[in-house]
Amino acid sequence: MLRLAALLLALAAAAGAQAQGSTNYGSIYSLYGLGERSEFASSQAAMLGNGGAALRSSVYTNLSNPALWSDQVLTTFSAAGRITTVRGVDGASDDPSVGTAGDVASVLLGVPLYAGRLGLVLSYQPYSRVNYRSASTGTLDSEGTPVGYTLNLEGGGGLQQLSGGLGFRLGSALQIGASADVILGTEEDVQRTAFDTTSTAFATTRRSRSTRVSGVTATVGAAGTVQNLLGDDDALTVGAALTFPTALSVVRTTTLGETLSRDTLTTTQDGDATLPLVLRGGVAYRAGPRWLATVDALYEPWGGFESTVPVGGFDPAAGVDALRDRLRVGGGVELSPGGGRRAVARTALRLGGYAERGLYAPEGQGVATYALTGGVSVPNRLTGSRIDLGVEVGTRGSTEGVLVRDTFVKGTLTFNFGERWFVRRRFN
Amino acid sequence: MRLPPRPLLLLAALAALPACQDAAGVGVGLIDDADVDPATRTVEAASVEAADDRRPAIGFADSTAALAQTRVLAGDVADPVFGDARAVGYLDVVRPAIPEGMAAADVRSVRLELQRTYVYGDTTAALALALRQVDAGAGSWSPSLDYAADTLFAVGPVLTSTTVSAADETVAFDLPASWVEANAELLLAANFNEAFEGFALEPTRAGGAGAVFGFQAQTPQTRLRVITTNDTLSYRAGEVFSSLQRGEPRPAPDAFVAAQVGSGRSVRLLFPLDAIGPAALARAVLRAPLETTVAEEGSFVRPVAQNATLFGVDTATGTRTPIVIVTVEGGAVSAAQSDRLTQAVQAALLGAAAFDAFELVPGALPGRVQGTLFVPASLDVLPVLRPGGAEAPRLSLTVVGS
Repeated sequence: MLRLAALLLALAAAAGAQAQGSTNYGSIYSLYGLGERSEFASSQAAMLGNGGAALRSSVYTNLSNPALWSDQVLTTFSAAGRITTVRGVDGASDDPSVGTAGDVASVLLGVPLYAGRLGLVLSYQPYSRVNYRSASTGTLDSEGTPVGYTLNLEGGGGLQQLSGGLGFRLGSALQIGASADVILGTEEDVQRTAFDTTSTAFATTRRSRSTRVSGVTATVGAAGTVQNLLGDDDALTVGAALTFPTALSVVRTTTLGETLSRDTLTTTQDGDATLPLVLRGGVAYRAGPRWLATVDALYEPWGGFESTVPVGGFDPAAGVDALRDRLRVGGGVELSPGGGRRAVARTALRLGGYAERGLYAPEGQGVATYALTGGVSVPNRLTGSRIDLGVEVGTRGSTEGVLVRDTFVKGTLTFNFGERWFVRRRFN
Repeated sequence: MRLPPRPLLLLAALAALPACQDAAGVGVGLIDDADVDPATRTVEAASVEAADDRRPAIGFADSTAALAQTRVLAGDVADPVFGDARAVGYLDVVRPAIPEGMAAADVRSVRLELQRTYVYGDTTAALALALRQVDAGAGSWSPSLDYAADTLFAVGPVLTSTTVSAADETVAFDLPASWVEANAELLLAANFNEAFEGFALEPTRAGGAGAVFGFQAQTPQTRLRVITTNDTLSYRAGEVFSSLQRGEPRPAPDAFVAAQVGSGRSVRLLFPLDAIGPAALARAVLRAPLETTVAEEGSFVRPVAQNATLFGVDTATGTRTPIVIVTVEGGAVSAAQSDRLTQAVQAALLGAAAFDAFELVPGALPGRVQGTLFVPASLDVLPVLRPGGAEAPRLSLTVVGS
């Protein structure tokens, strides 16, 4: 009963964050491509610089590499929510833009079909998020009469990823795994213009461009571990995972009209877009039970992105292609104090960071992100369960040219529950 | 299960933290839509032509009306621009409540008094108006849009006549003694309203341009005065109808379209909206300048309509959809505060409209006001200027994303 209550509580936390995400805003850069890429391999990986390709754990199920799912010994359920506050400034605006957005970072169920050797994982996590908003004011000369207006450019939605797969351990050193990944979702870009007049003569106009995307891809991963490398109880793991490029079905619906009759006209355009591959690689070194260090890299060739339907920063017919390859390098260190009766004594501390080159380069200007990550992992009285509190602080872009410099703070709360299922009682 | 208090607080924050956004123009330069700012685009009419329609009956009002604009027309005018017109007015009266004992009184005289409030034509003309009684034996009449515009009712012989000019504010007909004597009992009878069908006002133009006069129906000055040995009774006007007969159409003027109330002629406007394309529309303003010099040419006056009905017309099928009542201000038909016009033009911009042209029909639509059928009566004109001159009908569109 207690575990059920805890699961419900975790879902409530995730839903609460999701409710935030449905109505609010984040980075202006989320307008590019198919949205701002979202990754949450595990709460542990997120605190260690967002890397996880080689991060083995018996507590955390790591979504970045299916090969590592063979490490499961407990049936695990994990739900994570996050809230991000972004403060944006640019060289043209006097005032900053501040937005707060929340969403579900991941929800997963991991089942060890054969403990420590074969594991099944079903998971959900956002693939991308679109949550930008820019509002500007101006004055229109309407037959000699100045009329003020506010122009709102807003984006919402994003793509979701549903995955299911298996991880298998071959012998004592090698792990392999694969998953099928369904990617689907809707992105909506809205241009809304409201006029500053008490007269009913001017209607608020609204142009909405809704893009529905769906497709299937697959991820394969492998990891190799060498134990007792420098000492008696250390281990070095090297891992990599590849998510294959895939063609997504795209349906673009444009609704144009004014507020009094919003659906004045709807046009639909069908097409497809080729999602680039995702290549992850990493190294993790565990020096005994207390110390863990990991380094990770990610590559997504968005520079070769193709789509028959224009998306943010990509419109071949208009000669617009602001997308480029996305690269990220990160790493972090974890300290687990060890045993003790008090929770503080068993709380793990994590610190990391990453640098990323974004998948967009507006007017040829690259956008880099630098962030520090960290957090704590607090055990509780339920065996195999931990509550993780993570934080990420960083900056993205600059104020040069048309660019925007985002300063963001992200907080995550993750509930990880693990217990033994399907184990026959030996004694009644 | 006890959870640590701090995670619980953060959990609560996740669920309850209000969504917030401090909007600013940060990042507008990143959005590659070049046409996001609103702009005002003017579309001049490509053509302005006359369109013929079923000539509507005018001047209805039923006996319950208390409408200031209720008017009955009578007169004969020769108009070289808008065409000749002859109006025969029909006016019923309603008997007031009569005290007991009054029915036994003797009727000494009867006079029909009309308040003149409208003139179209030569203001110096003097026109003979003959008064006849509507033949009740031919059946009763009541306001109905099913009547043809030139419907004439059966009437009896001329009872009396008078001469009316634009200088007269009140016109009176003294009913002859023989008629009074013959109708004395009916005038005071309880079934008067059912048995009496009213009077007809028939014009006789002796020459010249002539005029059509309008008499206010719902006013104390318009009444049937019945003077008895006991008292004087006032019978107010009830149902009215103006039958309008038109002469041969005149050649269309070059500079404007000669639309007129009751003429069956409207103004069809074609705007090349394709040039705008599928833009979001914040406001549409219609302005159609009028040739106001025709309103007064010497002693000949033509009142300009104060409003018109704007229709959307499917020229292929002739289907007309009313959009909005527009007003005449500053010498032009103007529709500036109309959400319905904006919606109609928006639909046209997007190719989703059920019409491909606009039509301006002078005067308000027939309809019901407080449950009463009401069709204003006038010969008001709507001389809409054609393109090519100094001014042309135009749509001023505030568009976003064109």
